[in-house]
Amino acid sequence: MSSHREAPEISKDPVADSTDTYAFVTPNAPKTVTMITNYIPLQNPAGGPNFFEFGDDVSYKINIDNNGDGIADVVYEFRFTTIVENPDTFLYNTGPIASLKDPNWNRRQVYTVTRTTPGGTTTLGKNLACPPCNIGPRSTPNYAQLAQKAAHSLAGGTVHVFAGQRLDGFYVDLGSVFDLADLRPFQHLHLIPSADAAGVDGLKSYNVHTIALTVPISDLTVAGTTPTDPAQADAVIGVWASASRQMALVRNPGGADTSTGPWVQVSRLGNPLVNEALIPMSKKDLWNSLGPDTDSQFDEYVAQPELARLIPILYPGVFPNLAAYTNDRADLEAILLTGIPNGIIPGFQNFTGTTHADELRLNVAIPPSSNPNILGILGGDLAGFPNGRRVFDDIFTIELRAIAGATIPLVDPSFTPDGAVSVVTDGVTPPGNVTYRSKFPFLDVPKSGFDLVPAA
Amino acid sequence: MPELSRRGFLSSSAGLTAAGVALAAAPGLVAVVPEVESALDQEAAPTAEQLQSIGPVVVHVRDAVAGEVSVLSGESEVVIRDRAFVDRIVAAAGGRVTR
Repeated sequence: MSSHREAPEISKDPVADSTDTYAFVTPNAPKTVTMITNYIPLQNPAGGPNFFEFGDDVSYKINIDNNGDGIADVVYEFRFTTIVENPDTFLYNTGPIASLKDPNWNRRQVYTVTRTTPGGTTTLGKNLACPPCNIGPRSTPNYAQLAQKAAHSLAGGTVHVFAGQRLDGFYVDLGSVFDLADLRPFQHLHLIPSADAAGVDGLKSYNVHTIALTVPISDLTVAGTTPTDPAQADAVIGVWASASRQMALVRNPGGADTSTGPWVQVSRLGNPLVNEALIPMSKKDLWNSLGPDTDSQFDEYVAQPELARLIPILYPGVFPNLAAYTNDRADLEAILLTGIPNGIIPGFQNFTGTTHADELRLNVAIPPSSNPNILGILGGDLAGFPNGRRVFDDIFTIELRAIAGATIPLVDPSFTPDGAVSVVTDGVTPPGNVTYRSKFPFLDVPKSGFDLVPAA
Repeated sequence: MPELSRRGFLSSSAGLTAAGVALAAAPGLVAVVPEVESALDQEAAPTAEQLQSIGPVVVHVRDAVAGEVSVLSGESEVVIRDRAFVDRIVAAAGGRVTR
């Protein structure tokens, strides 16, 4: 969750496993968009001595579709190189790491960022330093300040980029959700009941590896402008992340592995939970290998989601209206596959046309909220999910309520959501469980291995 | 710009050859590729320097019956049809192709 270990094959390849993708108009720079994608899920901060790092053999991309055809028009690619200063020690660091060039830091990474459009490829930055992992107060003192130095300004200060370890911003009660969709605050209503309890954040204190990028809106839109009218079609962009590996890997006994051949996509992530909670087991790996422009082949899993049929069974008598609703879920198709057209939610649209494509659709003409609601549009905040996605949006609750019927009336006014829909939740919300930063790269500094207190 | 060419452009920026993109993206097209003799039979053997610059080459017999071979090098893929070559590869692996 939201796409941590969501498919059989990619769950074996965490370095290329995208966990979450975010896209939002930058709160402190509203003429820019910030896009974030995370990899390497569920990092135990103490996981040394070979701490977590990006894959030198992985091509990481943030893709932007600005004309609604499900095909990328702008691509930012990130390629990493690992540097080992001293191959004769087993240590990640041989003393405190005080700077990004500290000789005590033995194993570091640098990266290249390129931007590709139909007009060509531009290298935005080379040899950009990643921060170290957060080891502990002796190895990485003043970690927050050190890591912030790895937030690089490029293209004359118009582009900001960061790639390195962060605290996972997603929050959800993993343990209960995967235990037959139990929701601790309501588990007395579950088919297999027990006493109600507070939610438990299954991702608390785990880290991820983050790629964050802030660019001018005009670098992303189809006309190269900064739209101000939310009703304009060209105010909407679609964003997704992808990771690719070369087709062949040869393991050479006694030597370095060799990757050869064209790049093959192994991970994709636009809207949270789509591949994880909607696509069936047999098609998850296929879904990860494809682009959004082919997503119409998965329509049935959005139109008739398995979870919407399970919820009334697992919570007997609680969701009778949902149980009786058999129409295709045009609400979910709009939210996830086409965007929401004008005229459904006052002052809002993020419709990109009839092509069904799983993309995080962001209307860049809607300014950031001065008083954000973590339930996003469901909570009356047009700057939140599913208008793009902010780091703090309560994705699990939003999508749970949507699948349970909260958004059906948007397209079918004859439907009345069940009473439980407006309150159902896994009981995990920030702050307390997870914290964020108010400025780039917005996700908080990672937990250190030293400070980690393992769960009892 | 047509979709296919735009996708091809974005892919080729990552180092794929046009032929590699087409064949990788649409394996069904391979069936219409005419059978060719082995490139090694047709062309002079590459020099050591050329081999060095090519780097590792991986040959994958995709369909032994059809004689279809995928040749991977660098960031590209070329698909050839060469039944005699495939027969020799399969024989080296201790097998025999029955057509």
